[in-house]
Amino acid sequence: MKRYVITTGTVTQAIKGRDVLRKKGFKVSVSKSSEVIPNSGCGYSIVLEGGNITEAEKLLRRAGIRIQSITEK
Amino acid sequence: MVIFMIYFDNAATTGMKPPEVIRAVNDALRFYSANPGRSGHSSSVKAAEAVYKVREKAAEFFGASGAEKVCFTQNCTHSINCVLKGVLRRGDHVVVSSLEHNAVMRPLKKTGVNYDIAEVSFYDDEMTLKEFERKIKPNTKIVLCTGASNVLGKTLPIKEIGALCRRKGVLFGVDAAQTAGVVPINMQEMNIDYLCIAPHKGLYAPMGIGMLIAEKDIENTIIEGGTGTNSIELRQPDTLPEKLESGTINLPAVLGTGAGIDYVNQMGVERIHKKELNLIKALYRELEKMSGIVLYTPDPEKFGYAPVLSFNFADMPSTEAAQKLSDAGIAVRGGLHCAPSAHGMIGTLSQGTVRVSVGVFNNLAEINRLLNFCRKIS
Repeated sequence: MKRYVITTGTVTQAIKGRDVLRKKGFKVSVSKSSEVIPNSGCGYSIVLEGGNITEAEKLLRRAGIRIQSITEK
Repeated sequence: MVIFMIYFDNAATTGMKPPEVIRAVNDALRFYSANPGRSGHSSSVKAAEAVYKVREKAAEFFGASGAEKVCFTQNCTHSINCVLKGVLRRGDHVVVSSLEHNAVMRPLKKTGVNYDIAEVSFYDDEMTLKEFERKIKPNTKIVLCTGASNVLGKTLPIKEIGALCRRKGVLFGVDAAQTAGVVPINMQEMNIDYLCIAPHKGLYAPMGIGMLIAEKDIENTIIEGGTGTNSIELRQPDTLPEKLESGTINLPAVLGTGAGIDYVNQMGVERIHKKELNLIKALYRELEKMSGIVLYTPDPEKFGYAPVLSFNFADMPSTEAAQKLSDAGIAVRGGLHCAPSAHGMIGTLSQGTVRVSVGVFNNLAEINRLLNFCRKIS
């Protein structure tokens, strides 16, 4: 199963995004970003276990979540 | 010495807090004592989740469009400062009401922008609305007004002023220190862009916290610092709520606010308002019969009111009267209540007024105790 880390920056954005995806049946959690983001610093991420990342990204953007990066782990 | 007072100073802060709020504050210190939004350990994330839940509750309670619009500040005054100093630029114009607290007037003065004061009618909300419309100019950036006077209890026609602002393309901010949790507020229905809240009043939360619900952006911050995010950048993050929440937030008070919202929701805002206003009406009815009493507002039966009433014992200084009441075990507030413009309207700048403000825990027996004392003095 693919695992994606969607970096959102703030913990508020991460929790909001997680709730948006969870309501749509995605398996998600919030965690502090494991790496310091280059040229930015600390932040929080939504961890997505499997599912359609394109659909997840679309839902997040529609909800106004600012996505800094998406990494496949 | 009187230990247990009858507490009628709820417009300053609600004197009694519900057990649920006390429990939530206690639990915050016992089970959530980690810094939310800073670390990655489970305690920090658990604290952040608890804070987010309170944002959600507040957003729903006040009809805001999302949890991220809810910012925690130090107090309502801080929230108002964030709005005025955050949106105003040189050349802008502001409209405020004639009943504003210094929480509005002092920061407004500090911005140096021009402003006009819309006179509030005690008898006719339509006249008040027309007055606001007359004061709006082409360069008016924001109308910021109180939801209700902290001196007189008179409520302003917020929904109508909000509709006016939307029509004119002007931002609308409300100082809801006296109305949040006391009268129904729905930001989207009332076209409120910025709602400034004192949770320790009508939401029965602890002191030391404010809320600013911002539907529109606030360009400039008045405090910058650590937010737990984007740490390499020296530029302040531009997303709410963290943009306005530099430094550690008051987590016990935030969780207390959540419990306070639950409490008010359970009781029902309209039910609370009816109960509190009935007490004020009962007080008013008896005070108006006493020859030595001066009342300053029209009948609360007929006009929109928050549960606040001002009066004087003839020409006795209000602070002297308040002290006499305190000595008798009744807590009220004398003086100008940090709102000189309201006192200017009713001609009490030198005397001040005795202010009685009730909360959900007051009852008719307490009002009668106050009335007995008033009969003796008047």
